[in-house]
Amino acid sequence: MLRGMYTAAAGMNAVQLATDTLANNLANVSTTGFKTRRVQFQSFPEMLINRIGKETAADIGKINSGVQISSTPVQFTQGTLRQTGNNLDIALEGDGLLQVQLGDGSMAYTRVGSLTLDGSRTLVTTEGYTVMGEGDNPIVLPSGSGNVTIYPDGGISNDAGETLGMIKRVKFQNSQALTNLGDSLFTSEETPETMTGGEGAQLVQGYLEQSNTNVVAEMMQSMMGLRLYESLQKSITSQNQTLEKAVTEVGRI
Amino acid sequence: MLRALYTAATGATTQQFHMDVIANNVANVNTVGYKKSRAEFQDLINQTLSSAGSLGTQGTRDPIGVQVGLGAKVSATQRDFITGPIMQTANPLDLAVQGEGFFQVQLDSGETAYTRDGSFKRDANGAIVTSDGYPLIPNLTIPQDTAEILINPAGTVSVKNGQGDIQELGQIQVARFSNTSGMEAMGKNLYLKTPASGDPIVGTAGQGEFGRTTVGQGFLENSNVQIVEELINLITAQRAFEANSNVMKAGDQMLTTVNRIVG
Repeated sequence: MLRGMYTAAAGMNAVQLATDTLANNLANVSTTGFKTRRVQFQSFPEMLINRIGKETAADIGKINSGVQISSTPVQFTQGTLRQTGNNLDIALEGDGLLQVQLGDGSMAYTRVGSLTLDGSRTLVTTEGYTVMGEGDNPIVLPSGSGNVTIYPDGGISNDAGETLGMIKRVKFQNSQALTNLGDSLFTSEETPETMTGGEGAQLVQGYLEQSNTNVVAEMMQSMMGLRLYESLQKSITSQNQTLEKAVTEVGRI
Repeated sequence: MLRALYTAATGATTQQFHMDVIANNVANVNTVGYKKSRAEFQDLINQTLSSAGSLGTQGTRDPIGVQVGLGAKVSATQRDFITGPIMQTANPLDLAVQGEGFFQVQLDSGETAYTRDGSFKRDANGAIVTSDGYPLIPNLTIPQDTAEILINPAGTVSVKNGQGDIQELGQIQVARFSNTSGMEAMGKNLYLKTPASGDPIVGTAGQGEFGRTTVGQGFLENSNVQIVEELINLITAQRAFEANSNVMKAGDQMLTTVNRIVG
């Protein structure tokens, strides 16, 4: 059959997945610390085509027969900071993530800094995941700490200036390859590097990092995707008509 | 079918919830002791179509996988307990807690509820009660011949009768929680303790744990809702809803296009 039909169909599938991705980016436009994913397309492997006929089977050349999604890298561009005034809200500015411990003891990484205290005054995320401090220990703010100050390097101190703990900040070599667990959490097989002092992401107290979704860009993508989808459909329809002619009219002779 | 349609639906639903939270904040802009809520969102699980490190077409390992997210959800409604503006009233039983701490009131069930709304009243017997009639803890009764009620910044309640004799009635205590945001709002400006909030720490204003807390007589704490902030949130929620609905429309058009192949 006509190769072109399969090529166009592969294109339509790829556009569908791209639309799914941008739908997710837009659905999370209000999600704190959300990072968009971009879709990267790649052509199918090239293949050699030959002339028909045994004796004269010379090469014609190479052809690609479609497109597929090669990867969906996470875009760790900075989101806008929004002031909340809440003492335990922190925004990350720059490259890096916070480390949290999940219920099963495993580690995950997040950019969401809307922290709170649990019943035992341990620093946790609003979902209840324990925020890791130095040496992967939880951070406990003793009763009567008053208004805590969180410094850009992760240090936490009470009213009297005494240090209560240090929030761990980590960085990955290949942050685009992080796997998304949902709940705004990421994991990776790579062991991250711990940041100290002025390195990597700096914490800003009383702010939250907004989603980095760019609504205009995503809407543009959506329109372009839709039109591409339509033209691929037209291409299938016209190839279908060609086939129809081949089958019904050529066959008649 | 297209994932995008369902993903956009979750996005629209979360924005709808966002609007509900904003509407409640705006509705309570003049509610004494009201604390604003903030809706927080998270992304849903991501479907992994090919994981990072899987074998690529040319025999290489893909450094980055293909994951597609499936939408957003509401993760929490965080209550913001920052102090609202304190306004002066002439009523001697209007109290405002400045700094950390809640008044304790007794519910009909005998349970203790906590509130920042200090607009107390006297009931028929002279007991100090909330506007809904829940008695203050500890129970204090104002004698009939009282000319003036005096409450000092530590919360000590005294009364002065017609002859000018001062009698001390008792001490209003305040309570705080290790995780105030974990408390459950029961309406009527009252909050209840939960396992997440921890047990209350009860004390006297100006002492120990409550060193920075004072009780202000003749003052009320107004709602901490900031109307401008809420309206900005409203605009973003509404536009985000629209963006999601546009994705649904695009998804619908794509499906129409597909059907046209066999047209």
